[in-house]
Amino acid sequence: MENKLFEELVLKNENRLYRLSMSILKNYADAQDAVHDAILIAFEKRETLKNPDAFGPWLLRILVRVCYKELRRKQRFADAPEYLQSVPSRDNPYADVEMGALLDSLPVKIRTTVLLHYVEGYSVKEVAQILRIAEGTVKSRLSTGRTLLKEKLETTEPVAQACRG
Amino acid sequence: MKKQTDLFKPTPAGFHTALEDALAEAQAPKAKKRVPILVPGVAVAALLLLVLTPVMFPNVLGTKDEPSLVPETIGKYAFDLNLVQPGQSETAEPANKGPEFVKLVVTPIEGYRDRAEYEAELYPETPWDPRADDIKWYPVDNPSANGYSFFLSRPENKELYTMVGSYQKTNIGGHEAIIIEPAGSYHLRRVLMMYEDVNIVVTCYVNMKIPMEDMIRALEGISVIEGTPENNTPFSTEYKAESFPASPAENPYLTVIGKDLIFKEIGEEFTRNESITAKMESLEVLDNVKDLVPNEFLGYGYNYETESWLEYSDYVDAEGKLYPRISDVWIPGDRVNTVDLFVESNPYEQKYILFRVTYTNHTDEDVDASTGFELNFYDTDEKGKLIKSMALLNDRNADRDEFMYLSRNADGATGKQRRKGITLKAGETKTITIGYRCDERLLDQAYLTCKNGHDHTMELSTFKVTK
Repeated sequence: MENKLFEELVLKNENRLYRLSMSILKNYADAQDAVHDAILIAFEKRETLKNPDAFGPWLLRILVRVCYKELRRKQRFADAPEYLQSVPSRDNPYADVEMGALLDSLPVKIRTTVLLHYVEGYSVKEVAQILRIAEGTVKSRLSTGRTLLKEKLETTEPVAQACRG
Repeated sequence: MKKQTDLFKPTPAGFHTALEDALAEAQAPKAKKRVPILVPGVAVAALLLLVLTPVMFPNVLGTKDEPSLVPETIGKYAFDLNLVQPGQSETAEPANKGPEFVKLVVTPIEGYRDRAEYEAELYPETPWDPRADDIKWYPVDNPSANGYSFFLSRPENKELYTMVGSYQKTNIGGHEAIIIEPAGSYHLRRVLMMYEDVNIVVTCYVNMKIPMEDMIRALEGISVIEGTPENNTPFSTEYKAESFPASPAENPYLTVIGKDLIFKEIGEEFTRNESITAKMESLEVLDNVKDLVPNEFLGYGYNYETESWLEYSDYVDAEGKLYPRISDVWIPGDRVNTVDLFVESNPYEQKYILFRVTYTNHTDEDVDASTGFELNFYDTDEKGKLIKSMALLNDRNADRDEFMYLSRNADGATGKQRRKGITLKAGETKTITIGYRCDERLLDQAYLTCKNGHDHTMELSTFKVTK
């Protein structure tokens, strides 16, 4: 894949990269770092991608792995007092604060699945490919996500809209 | 589906800048490592050693006079793997014949498990008899998906590889290797790895969804060691030498049935095996299966969300009609110079073939046996002779038929994973009901056949499904 094409495809997915990384990591600096690493990895592996049309899901898959790795790293050091002192507050990427709080309340894997399907508009099959899980697992997570959202908020038009898709 | 991206604030400008920084860093030339300058005397010694090492120690540094895996282009999408050393007679014995018995040693990597473990979990009631030449790994989170398959062969056997999109020669775990990307409709990556010390080529078929780096990591972990007569991995001919038509006019799919089809009538007794006779009591084609007992349908497919087999409602609608299936139509290529071309997808309806059979055990011992039945599709040639059906030959992506129903009294077992067979006590006679779903378009070419004895029997009691 030519460098110019790679660059164009990355920039085309800029907003998705922002939303996904922020949704998982909840921190602007961490999200930037994760996206930075994901781009470096993607560039190195760009020749393994045969179909440029699949670039978006492919890049998001790399980003998800980088973000999850960062989360695990944080969990390992979560008990260290010096780390806790340095944790910045949550950066809010949501225009709708209430909706954002609802999404943030979901477990990270369910939140990621809900985001990819209902916010980014990927099909169940595409989400399965991005997250490297079975389609049945995607459906299960979406179902759980809807249930959890309904439990937390009885009725909210944005939520209902998001769940109906 | 409507996106909800307006839930988010616009992406900050600083994020765009960060992206551009990352792109610039990714595309920047990598800094070269400094090469230490040797003292002249040391440099001369090092140079001599480098030159002489391949002569004195051919296997050090992975150097060899000639590679072992030499692809010879046959067509646009095929190569012949000439495993004979260049300049060497094709009939010459290989310098290293290798041990008579070898054992493929594989340890599944994280995220995968081998077939034995998978089968034991999904079929706990049926002991699995692993075929040593069918070593497979499945993804842990999706056992229905393909993962890896491994096969062994001797390098002196010529191999033809078709549906080749591209290939690269490389080294995996210190072994000469060729990675083959598929062409056309073929969906597996193939990796050939040469194990010279035991004179073995390992062929790996790998799901294309597996990232290259994961695949390399997995393959680096396999090894081939000397085996014993009791503990070895047989050589596999299953995937060898994909067919190459002798001429374009020859239809590689046309086969003449080699077995004797003995046509029987409803109510006519015939031999099932040395202990059992059978008699077809009735045979009908149904549009609707709602009168059948739902939990006597055999399991088909596994639902990983509910961790259970698919239910009746997964393949029969509320009115009792079988859901239609989808088949894909392709124009086949010869796989050497042309690849298969996708044409269209077609939904097709299914019918249900239901028949009742009375089995009698004529011995004084209890017996177990399979029903003996299969659903086959035959056409007739210009001389009226039955031949393998060519209808829908290029339709893919759907099974034409499936053994789907077995009445509970067949062997008394419960659950979706019942063995598809019958149990008869000494001297017992019983009538069971068997059902197959069938592609509606092939009904007139459908025949039920029952083996007389075992799989190698040449005689089949035969019933045409439609008049």
